Amino acid sequence: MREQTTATVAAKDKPAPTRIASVRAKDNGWWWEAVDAGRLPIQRCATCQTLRHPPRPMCGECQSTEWDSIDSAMAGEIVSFTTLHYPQFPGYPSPVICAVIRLDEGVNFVTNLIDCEPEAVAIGQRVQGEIQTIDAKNTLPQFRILAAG
Amino acid sequence: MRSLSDASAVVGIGATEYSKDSGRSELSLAAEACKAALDDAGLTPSDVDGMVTFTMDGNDEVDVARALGCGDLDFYARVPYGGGAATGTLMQAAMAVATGVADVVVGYRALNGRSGQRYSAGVSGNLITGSLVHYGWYMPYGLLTPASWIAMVAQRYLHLTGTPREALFEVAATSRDYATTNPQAFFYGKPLTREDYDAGRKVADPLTLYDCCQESDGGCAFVVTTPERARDLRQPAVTIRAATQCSARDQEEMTSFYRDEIARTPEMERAAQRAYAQCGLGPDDIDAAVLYDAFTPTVLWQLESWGFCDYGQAGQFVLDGNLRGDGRLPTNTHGGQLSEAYIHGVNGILEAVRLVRGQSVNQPDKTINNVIVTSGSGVPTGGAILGRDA
Repeated sequence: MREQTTATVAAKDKPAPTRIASVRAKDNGWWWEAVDAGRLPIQRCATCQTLRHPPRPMCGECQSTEWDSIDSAMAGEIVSFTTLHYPQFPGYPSPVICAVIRLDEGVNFVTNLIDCEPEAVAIGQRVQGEIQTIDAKNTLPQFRILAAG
Repeated sequence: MRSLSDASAVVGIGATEYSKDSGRSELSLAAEACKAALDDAGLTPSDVDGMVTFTMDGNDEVDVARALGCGDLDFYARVPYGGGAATGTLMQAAMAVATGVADVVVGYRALNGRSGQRYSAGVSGNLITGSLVHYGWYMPYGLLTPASWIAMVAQRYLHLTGTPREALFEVAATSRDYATTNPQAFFYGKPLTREDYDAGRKVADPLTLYDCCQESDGGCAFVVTTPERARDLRQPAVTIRAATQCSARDQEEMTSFYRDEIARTPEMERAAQRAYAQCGLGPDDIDAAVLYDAFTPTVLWQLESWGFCDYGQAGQFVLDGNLRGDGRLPTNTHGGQLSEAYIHGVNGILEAVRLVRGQSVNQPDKTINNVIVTSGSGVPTGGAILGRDA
């Protein structure tokens, strides 16, 4: 009986589960900080202007280590997607739809599709993203399907 | 020209029982599998001077060596990228023997993949491998499991090629039918009906339960030595005609989502081309295959990569019955990882050796001169061609 009470109290005090956030290290921390500030940046080589995502310390085209970034307009097209049913993880909606988006700037980006039924998703659909605060540990770009036409 | 081809041979194979709860340590599984492989070859632990395994294996070479009672080791190597390591272990062993760095190399993989850490539990909390930064691009969105990563590629492949779901069922059903006659297989005596398949729970669209391999406990090992020494041993020698590893441009571990076309596996295409080039063989010379089957669609991709059909045609190739015992390319005759056990592809190496020796429980009714065996899809991968000693 007493154990039960303790367990109930512990469950009440336990913070709501969150999604698993990315670590922030030297090569990716700036990107997540930009997202926290409401932007979706794309790293750009300062020497040859090639865009690259995910961020990395050297340009694969010209080997320059100088870089800056542009902000994506968060418009793009669905390259592929998967609706995840099993297993279910605490802190995540279920089902959750994940997608690879080809951003109009020309790089691919992995994200969620929101506010739609899984059956309504198709490869090639146009999407628009926005930055959303998801939980205590995650602020993420999330995308919606745009109406056809 | 110097070549790796036919410069070494597999002379022994061994495995523990496959189960869902071994009740013992992974080291116990590794030691037993290695001992069984040495017994099969007619060698002893004191003959061993090299070892190779996966970076994901939990058993240190020195611990396996000490458990077995080996003497001095002159070679040890590990291959990264999960199941992408499978035939990489063969390549490392072949290179060590061909160069004289070692004379007798044991390759092993032992895991409590069901009763211990399950890969389906995802990368959350306890990363399988790779960097936290890399998985940080996927974890926050929910892409946490191997099924979720492969599903993203499979969805687009099915979309581009029009491959019907029947083809995925045929891959699953073929492996299951082979398993029904393999006493080592988890699904021994249990065929898979279309009804069962359709009733399988959704996992990661388009993958459902029976598109996914099992999680298993067990250990597998093989022994590689020189062709000359191989001829004096207990079993017919199985020569390593070719062995390759390959990571292709813009490769990530499981998440190569940034290429111009993500529904391709250029790493396997290159691994295949280089394997054929190594030994001067082509698809027409291959009599059977063991294709890494963590998920049903990956079998289709590999049939294309290894040149048995064009891109997008593998669905029809399997629907024509070509993976069956009387088909063009009997494939995964042990039941594969879908239906025998998931020992990270090394149970597949063992089956490829059996096929060349003529010892498979589902031995095709034809001469088997050359067999392909591959590593995992979606990761830096590789493949090998094993053949009869001339």
